Amino acid sequence: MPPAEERPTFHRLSWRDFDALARLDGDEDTIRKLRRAERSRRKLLLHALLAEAAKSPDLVGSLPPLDSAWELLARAEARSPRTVNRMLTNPYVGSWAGYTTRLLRNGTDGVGPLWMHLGHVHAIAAATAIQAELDFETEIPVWHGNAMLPALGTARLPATEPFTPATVRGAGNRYVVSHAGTTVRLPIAFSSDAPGWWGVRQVRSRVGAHRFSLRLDDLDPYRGLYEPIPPERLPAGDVANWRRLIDEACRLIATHLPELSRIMPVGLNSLVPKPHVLFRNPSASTGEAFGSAVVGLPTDGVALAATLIHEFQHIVLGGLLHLATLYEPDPRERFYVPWRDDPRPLSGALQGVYAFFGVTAFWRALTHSDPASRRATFEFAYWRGQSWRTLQSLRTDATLTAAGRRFLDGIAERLGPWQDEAVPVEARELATAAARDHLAGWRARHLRPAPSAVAELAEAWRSGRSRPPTTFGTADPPPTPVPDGSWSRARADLLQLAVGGVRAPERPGIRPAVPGATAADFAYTSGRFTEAAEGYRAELAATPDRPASLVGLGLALSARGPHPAARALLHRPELVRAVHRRLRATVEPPPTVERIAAWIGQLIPD
Amino acid sequence: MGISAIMGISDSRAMERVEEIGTMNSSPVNTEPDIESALIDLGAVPFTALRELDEETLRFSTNHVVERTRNLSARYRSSNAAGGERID
Repeated sequence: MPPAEERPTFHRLSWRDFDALARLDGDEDTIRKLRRAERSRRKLLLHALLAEAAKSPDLVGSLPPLDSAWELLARAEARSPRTVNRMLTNPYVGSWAGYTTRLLRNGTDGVGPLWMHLGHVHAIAAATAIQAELDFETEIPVWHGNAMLPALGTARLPATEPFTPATVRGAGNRYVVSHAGTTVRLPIAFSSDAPGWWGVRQVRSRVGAHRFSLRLDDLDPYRGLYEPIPPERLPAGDVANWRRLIDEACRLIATHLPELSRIMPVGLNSLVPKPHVLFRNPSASTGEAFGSAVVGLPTDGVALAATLIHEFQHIVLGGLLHLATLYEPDPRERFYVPWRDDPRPLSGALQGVYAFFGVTAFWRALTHSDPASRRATFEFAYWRGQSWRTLQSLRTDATLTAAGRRFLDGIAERLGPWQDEAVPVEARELATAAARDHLAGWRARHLRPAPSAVAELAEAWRSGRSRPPTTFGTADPPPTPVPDGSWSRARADLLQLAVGGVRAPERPGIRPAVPGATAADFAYTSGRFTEAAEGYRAELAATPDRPASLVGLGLALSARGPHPAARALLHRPELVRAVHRRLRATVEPPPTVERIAAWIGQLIPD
Repeated sequence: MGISAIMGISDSRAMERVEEIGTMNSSPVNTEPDIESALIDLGAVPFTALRELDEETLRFSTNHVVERTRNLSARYRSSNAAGGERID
């Protein structure tokens, strides 16, 4: 046994680096530490997978024994250690290792046979050997005719069977993949396309001294969030669009957040492109694929910059969570978060706070650069407030560790003072209204008032009391994950249109096509509040349970001045709805929702 | 069992090493020991050596990482966006 000094040690992080990450002050060295730890994690999982699989050699089917992959990796490492480092930096080696570990250890069924997933290590070894220019031959899995060589590309072969092996061989810089009489020759530049070959595209962007290099990976089967997915090759025209948007986003980040643009390339090296979704800029990532983000084609470079920062924050926190425990496991979905329509566990809420903290920093920088920008000022006003509110709800939670509290304190140290920075009145008012809209909609659908309180209020109404009893509780019940009714994002989408965050196809004289938007929503977001209130009253007369109409009426009334019904509909919509439901079943004719709201609202302060 | 025990070194030696590293990574006023993870640093361990390495530190770290990986569950599938969060 080697002396203790020579044995491997554990990854460490100084508290200074930890605090800097919390405050958005992390430097390149810190992100490199996280990346280095991820490489160790992947190496460890690879080692554990191969050791476990070696106990049952038939698990790899007709592919060569897994030992040969290990030997090939060792040869590549001896020839060119950088190629092995690069392989371990590939995010999808991480997601493959995680997915396959779960299949093997939990005995669960996956997408396709287990041998294909275990055998993917041959593809990882082959891709590494090719980059190290080794002379070798091995076999790799083919899924529906696609033989993936991670980070290089996919050889497209005849799909004789859904899952089958193919041979990879070559030397120097000439390699081929063969199967069923078809041979695909890899091009000299792997990222190029060639007959039978789709290369993994690389997008490079340079802004002054800042260099960004991102793979646009639409091929790797493990590029999704969780289970494997087939290739979704982007047409060349779409690639050009992505290149333009990435260039624009990188320029914005380098210009407005230069410190961030220095560290982002260390922690974000691959994007999984997805189609555009109107009014949304969907994106996602997983802690197992440090370095990667799944991103829907954004509206513009500004939206992409915000998304890249958002996902980078997730990536950083994911890496940090592999080194430090910030909270105890607790799957209970008990927090309101403004970025989703359902209650979230602390882990998800914390991820969101950190991601939107970064996004807030971006909009803040744009606001400083152009204080007249309606979009930037609204987004800054909205996200600084929403991130702060969620942060406050998490800070004292009992499941946080001391490190977790310290991390949130670090965020607060930076985010707190931003709350008082000047923004135009319009931006502040729009942000406040948008925040109230979403929270009230969430309350209506996820909070269930105590039946006894509802019964007492209904009885008080029936008995003709001018004010409701003052006994109904003020503490919120825990949220219920299953929503009571659906939600419409139409008002939020219309607001995005108004501030220029989304460009809908123009049709002269015709309202933009916003999914789910009603005439009342258009009136409200155009500032015609009396008309909007009338519209929402009509909606509630037809469907008194509709959460978006309840909240819409509250917003429209509130916009015209203090109103007890508005207070109840915005602060206790779940109670208004529950009492009205009960009265509908017992009083003929039932009162309007607005009357009940005005009655309950007498006890609700502004 | 503490990490220092797992690493086969005494508490006092472990503290010395922590301080050494802490000194390297900290300002003169910051003497907090570093956060030590349960993740073994394999950066300098070649593949050939890894298979020969059979010690408590490696077993501890492997178990930690594998168990955490096994227990990861996802409510979101690869076709869905997670909406501002992550699956873990």
